[in-house]
Amino acid sequence: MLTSPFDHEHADAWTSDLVDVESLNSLATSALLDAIDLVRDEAAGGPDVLFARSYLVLGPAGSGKTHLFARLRRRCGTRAAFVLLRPEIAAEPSPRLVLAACMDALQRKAIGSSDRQIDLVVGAMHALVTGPGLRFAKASLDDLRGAGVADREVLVGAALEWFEEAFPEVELGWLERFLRLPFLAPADRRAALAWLSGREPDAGQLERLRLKEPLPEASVLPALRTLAILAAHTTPIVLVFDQLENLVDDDGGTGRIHAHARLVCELHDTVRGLVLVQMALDAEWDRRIGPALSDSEKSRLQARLLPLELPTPDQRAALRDAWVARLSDAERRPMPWPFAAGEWEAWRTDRGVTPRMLMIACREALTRSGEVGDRREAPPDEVDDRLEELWLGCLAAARAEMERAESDGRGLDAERLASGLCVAFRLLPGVQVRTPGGRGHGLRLETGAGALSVFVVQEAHWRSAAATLERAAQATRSGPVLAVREAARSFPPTWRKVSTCLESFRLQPGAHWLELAPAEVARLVGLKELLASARSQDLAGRDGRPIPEEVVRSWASRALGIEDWSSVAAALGRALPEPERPPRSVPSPSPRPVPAGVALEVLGALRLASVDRVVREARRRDPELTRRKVVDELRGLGARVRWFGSAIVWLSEGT
Amino acid sequence: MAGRARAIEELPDGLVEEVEARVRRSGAILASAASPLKLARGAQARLFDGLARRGLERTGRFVRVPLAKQLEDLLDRERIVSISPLSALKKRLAGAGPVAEVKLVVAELVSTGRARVVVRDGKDRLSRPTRDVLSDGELGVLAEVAKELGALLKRTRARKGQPPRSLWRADVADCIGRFDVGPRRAADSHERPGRSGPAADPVDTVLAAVARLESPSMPLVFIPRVARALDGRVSAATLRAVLEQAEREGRLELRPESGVGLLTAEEASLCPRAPNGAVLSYVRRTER
Repeated sequence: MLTSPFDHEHADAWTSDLVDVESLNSLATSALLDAIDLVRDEAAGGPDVLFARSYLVLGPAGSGKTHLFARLRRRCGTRAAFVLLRPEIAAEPSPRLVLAACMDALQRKAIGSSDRQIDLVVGAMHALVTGPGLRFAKASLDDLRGAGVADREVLVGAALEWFEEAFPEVELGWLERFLRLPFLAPADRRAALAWLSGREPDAGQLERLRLKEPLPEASVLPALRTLAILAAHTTPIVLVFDQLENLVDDDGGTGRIHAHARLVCELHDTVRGLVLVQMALDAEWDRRIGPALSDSEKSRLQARLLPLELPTPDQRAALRDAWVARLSDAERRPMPWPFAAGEWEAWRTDRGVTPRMLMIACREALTRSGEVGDRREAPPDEVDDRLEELWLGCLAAARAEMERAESDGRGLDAERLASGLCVAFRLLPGVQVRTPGGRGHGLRLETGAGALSVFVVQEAHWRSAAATLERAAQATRSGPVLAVREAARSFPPTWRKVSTCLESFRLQPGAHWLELAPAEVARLVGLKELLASARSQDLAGRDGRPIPEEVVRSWASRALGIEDWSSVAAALGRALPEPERPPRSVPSPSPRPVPAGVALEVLGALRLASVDRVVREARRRDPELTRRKVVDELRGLGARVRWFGSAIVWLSEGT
Repeated sequence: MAGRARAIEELPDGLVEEVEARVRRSGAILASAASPLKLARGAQARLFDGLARRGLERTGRFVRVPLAKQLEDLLDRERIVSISPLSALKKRLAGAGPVAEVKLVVAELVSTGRARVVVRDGKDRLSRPTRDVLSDGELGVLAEVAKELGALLKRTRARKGQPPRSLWRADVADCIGRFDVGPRRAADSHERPGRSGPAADPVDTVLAAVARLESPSMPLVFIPRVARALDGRVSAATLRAVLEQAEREGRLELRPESGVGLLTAEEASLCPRAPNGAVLSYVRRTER
């Protein structure tokens, strides 16, 4: 089966394996690389010369904003730490979210290194303070790991003194724990990371840290300042705010735009050594976000504008060559393959072509080979199939995010869950969703029939979980309340106070408690990503053009059976939580019966399996099979196959 | 012993409206003195948030009516305002920050067509784009007339060994007459290059309009804005053709629309299309 390099129309921000034409957007690239180098140079000069820098990158959908992020990350390797932040729907951007995202990003391994960036930052700091110089970060880190505890403590003390003298604004309590991080045992490290990132450690973690409280609100910005100064010497933090068009509320409200602007202004003015990069669709910025900003905000947010360029004919040829070079010698053909000559000339010279459009055209030409360059409008069922594929991709990404959180020993951030609930509720006809903000990450649903408050009780510490439950119980006085929590993070039986509060909450009239199964959480997070991508026009149809947001919303309302999701059903007061409900099949927008074949054989052997597994096994038997064919076949089996969500299938025959 | 006044946690009803009225009366007030009551941090944040929702700006020191609005009000009152030096204009705007901020406001009003910079008495001034201000097309015709008059006058210069020369009054009148300095007529034709005389090259006219609408903080120009700036001097079909031609010549880049439901049908009709039907609604100059 031909493996296509044209399948990656959405750049993976975190990949190191990137098809790149360096001349494309070279101005934006060099401007940002220069800014990173400048920050590093300035850090050596001390606090008087170290400043934050702000850049705004604008381009149409598919012009390479995420690609630019991946390219910079690859080019910088260990020389910078990249943080990608996308707006949450149900939460305003805040320094705490930024700090958590920075720490998460530093937890990643730097490209070209087996160490986590956070450890290299610490190693570099010790190298700077003790003399060998920043270039010896790795060696210094290894030395420290091999040193005894007492020696290490001496070095940490020396580093603290050095920083206190050079940069008086650093938060010493936070810095001290940060400098010890690489040398902690895994459980201690997880606890320290939770605290350092501004998240709430659980009671056991706080005990390990010998602390009583999570990082206080007043310490979040100083902690961010400290982290930025630390990193500026070796790996300046590049804070990338992506998909900013999602700051615009559905009702056209500008509250979250102002919150974002306030945050960026604050970071720009008070956090030294940051490189702030904002990325947005050019039209959305020019006509929706920009006009909402005050001049003082504009002078910071739009200080340096870097428009992304569309590829020139030569760059398009270079892009096609770079993609084709990924194929094996046997698969590769000379120019203009996979296009016919006339079609390639049109794609090479047409106006308004983005890299994404070109890639999708290549893919279509490759798969259709005779019907290349057919740029007709995609028929509706093709759009539905495409959206189904994209939805599965979002679900997979959501599951990966949940796994990452799980491996860090924490649940998903409450903001993520609240945003997922928010977008799901907003798809219901006649439902208004407000996000009052504040603690508890609550939502307020209003319909003609009444109102419902939703509380996300995702806290890691029993004390704050109990407090949120008490607030939820109080809220039942003014109407029905739904309180939710990830089932994977269900309350331990030892949290007696929480059990009492939960019991008391459940006894209130109108109170509804729901633990969200992992599949439900994945659906909520995936839905938020799907709709955010639709707003950012990152969902492209087979013709290469973005699928309009309203088409995606309409498909999601129609095809995903949202009203039956346990959280939504609970909010509507129509059903019980998912674990108690019989499994349902996911309604298909256009089920097409396909004769039974390999997929049935595979499922017959496995009985219960993920769709991924069935696809994998089916491909072993018939390498020509595509995922779509397998899924179509499974759907065609109708009631013989039961679906759990859209990822697990069960052959119910004879059971 | 008298205790310290306790900060109020809840924002009193009507306070936002009261503060807003004070700001609108004086243009700006000190942020620290915005509330007559002592507010707790949370209440203060809600107060400023409420003011922001009512369209007021908060800077480090002030809460103010947006500078653009203040400047527009000034233009509406005085018709023409000196912007040279900008520091003098800054003093007339309540709560204005550094001169660079005022410069940005002026640039924004000009780029969005809400004001024009006019040269009077050798100084730059700002005015609403009324009929008292020459349009780009009229400036083009005026330049043609000046060029032609210059050429005529050059022929009359005294030359050694030749008799002095003069001009035929009717020729001069005809040349000057091509530029109508009276008030501009309402748009009555689809394309108005100026009265008779040779029309300015539409490519140059369009590119000049694009250049004028650019600003250092926004080098991308929305094509319907170009059409509005041209004010009917170039038809929609010509505008689209000119943009496509300039794109082929590598003078500018046409970019697909990326707004979500932002483009009206009327705006779309002014924009060129990509061969796949995508609306190309933004233009970026690639030659400087």
